[in-house]
Amino acid sequence: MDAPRAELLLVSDFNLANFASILRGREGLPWDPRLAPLDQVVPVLNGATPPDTSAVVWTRPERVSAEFQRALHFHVPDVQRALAEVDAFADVLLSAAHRYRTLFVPAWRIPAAYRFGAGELRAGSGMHDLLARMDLRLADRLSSAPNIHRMHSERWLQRAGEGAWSERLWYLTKTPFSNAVFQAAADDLQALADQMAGRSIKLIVLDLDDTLWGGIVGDDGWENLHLGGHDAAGEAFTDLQRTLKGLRERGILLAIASKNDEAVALEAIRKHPEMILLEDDFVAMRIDWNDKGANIADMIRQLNIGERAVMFIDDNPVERSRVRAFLPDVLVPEWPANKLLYDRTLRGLPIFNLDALSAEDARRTELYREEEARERSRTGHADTDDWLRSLGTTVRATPLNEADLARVHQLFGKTNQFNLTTRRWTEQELRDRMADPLRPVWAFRVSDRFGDAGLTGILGLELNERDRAVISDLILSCRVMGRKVEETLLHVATTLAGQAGKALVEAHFIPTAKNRPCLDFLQRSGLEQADKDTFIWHTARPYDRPATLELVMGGPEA
Amino acid sequence: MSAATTQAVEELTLAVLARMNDDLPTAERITADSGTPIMGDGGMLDSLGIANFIVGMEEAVERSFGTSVPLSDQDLMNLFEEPTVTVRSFATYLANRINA
Repeated sequence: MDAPRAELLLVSDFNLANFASILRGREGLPWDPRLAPLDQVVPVLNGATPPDTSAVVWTRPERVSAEFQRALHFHVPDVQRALAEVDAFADVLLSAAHRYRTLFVPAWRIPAAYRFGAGELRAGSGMHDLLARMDLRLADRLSSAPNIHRMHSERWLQRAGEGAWSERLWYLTKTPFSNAVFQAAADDLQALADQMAGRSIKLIVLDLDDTLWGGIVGDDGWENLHLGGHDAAGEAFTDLQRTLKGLRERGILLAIASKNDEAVALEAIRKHPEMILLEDDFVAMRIDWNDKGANIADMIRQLNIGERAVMFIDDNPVERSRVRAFLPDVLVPEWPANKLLYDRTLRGLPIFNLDALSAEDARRTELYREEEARERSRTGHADTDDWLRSLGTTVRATPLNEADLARVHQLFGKTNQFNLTTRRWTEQELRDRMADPLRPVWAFRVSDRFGDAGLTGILGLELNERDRAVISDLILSCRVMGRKVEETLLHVATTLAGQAGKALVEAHFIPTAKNRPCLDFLQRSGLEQADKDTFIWHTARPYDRPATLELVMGGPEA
Repeated sequence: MSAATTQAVEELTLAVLARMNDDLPTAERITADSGTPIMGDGGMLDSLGIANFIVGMEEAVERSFGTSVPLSDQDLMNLFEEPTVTVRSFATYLANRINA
């Protein structure tokens, strides 16, 4: 039987019943939507709520601010009074953020068709200026709460077009929007849920001809490609490359799968003066005449990335269809025939969680290159331990601190394979644990002579019980798996448990579709398997640190 | 404005009901034919469903017949003089309104 899903409370000063219907029809959403009483926003948010509940808090500015309502009826607004009313509402949301797992707060909008004269954007008296100030004030106030996500409602209204606002539905049912707006909002909620669960795109595999540049390089020659210059299509291709470059710099990996002569294609990449993406921007390339599906599968294996984290872009519908059939979990978006729409199409995909990208992500391409060099260095070593010793690995363990919080939260969110329980803690919950000596979280950094893999491991302990410690979280990035960092995490867990006076350490494995590697490790770790999913260690006996690496334990202030 | 036959309005009514399914969970989707009761005794639409249906019909009539036929509360009262409003009886009523 499936576990009950968490509740998504729909809190609003207007009727969200149509929105609730649409959300109930979205099978991929991790929540069960429930309507809160209509127009009871503040009492609902101030009231008690079941654990793990999230909420959409969708309000109209004229209900939050009486001053705004006056302005809506053509009175000159008192901006400070309106902002004070926004502050009061922000206080309610910030307080609720402690009781709700996540709050989704759509930005305030009024119909763009409403006209308030020539001064409608004049600072201090213009109606649309006032709304912008209120929206910004709310954004500023809420920015301190990591579990409040403001949502870009303007995009929903634009997508719904002229019929976005429905006077008929408003007067009949107190629903201001057409269902097209709610469908767009549901799409964004789905995308946010995916991103919060760690399902975001990490690798974009790109075709070359008529995808990254215009023309067929093998036929036309690199000098005659449409790329940059005073040419509409050429500019469109450089704009697409600029967007991809920006994503790469934020940590999204790029790769090439192209049916071409490799030397010819590389010559174009190296010599064309308008190429924005350079050879070093790509973490892998398969430029040959083999099947693209097989080539992409090969790259995914090499990079150790899940298929669901991969997107393939190709102008050719036959290739797209072929890759979809061969790798059904890889995202293959429909791609427009009109090249001028390429950049907009990429930017419109709700698949990148740029918010959560960290300093480690920005170095991701470099990290994969280091891994390639590390793997190549295996040759010539007598055995794995000999090779591991040669790497000069150092593991640094530190208690979770504010500086590492974002990265730790991200690692919790997106690590699926080596993850003991796949619990996804919120930033607020992690912050609470930072202050709780009975539920410590430790972060692990790994480096060796090839480079610094950064913060790649997490250990969470529960020390509430008198005689035993429970490993609540055991997480390791696939980037450093197989280098005995796993054993080091257990060494630290058992050591800390012993220091806390616990005779026993327990790890309860919670299986998912993806975390088999964690179970495989536990079964060969030396821990005693008490039952199918429980592993234990008696701290009277030390769990040795692997001799192939150095461990540095940081203090609480490290 | 083109003349609205009962059959054309009935097809439009079924199309609007089918379109409403896009916004409903699978279990709540509507399967309708000309004899399906939509309002009144045994009607498949709840009060919000009726509102969505009325708004959808008004927009569809405007698109298809180039005329605006607002369905007021009085119209609904007239319809509800019958214990059950089927797709067919609704289409007959609306075709008369369009052609009036």
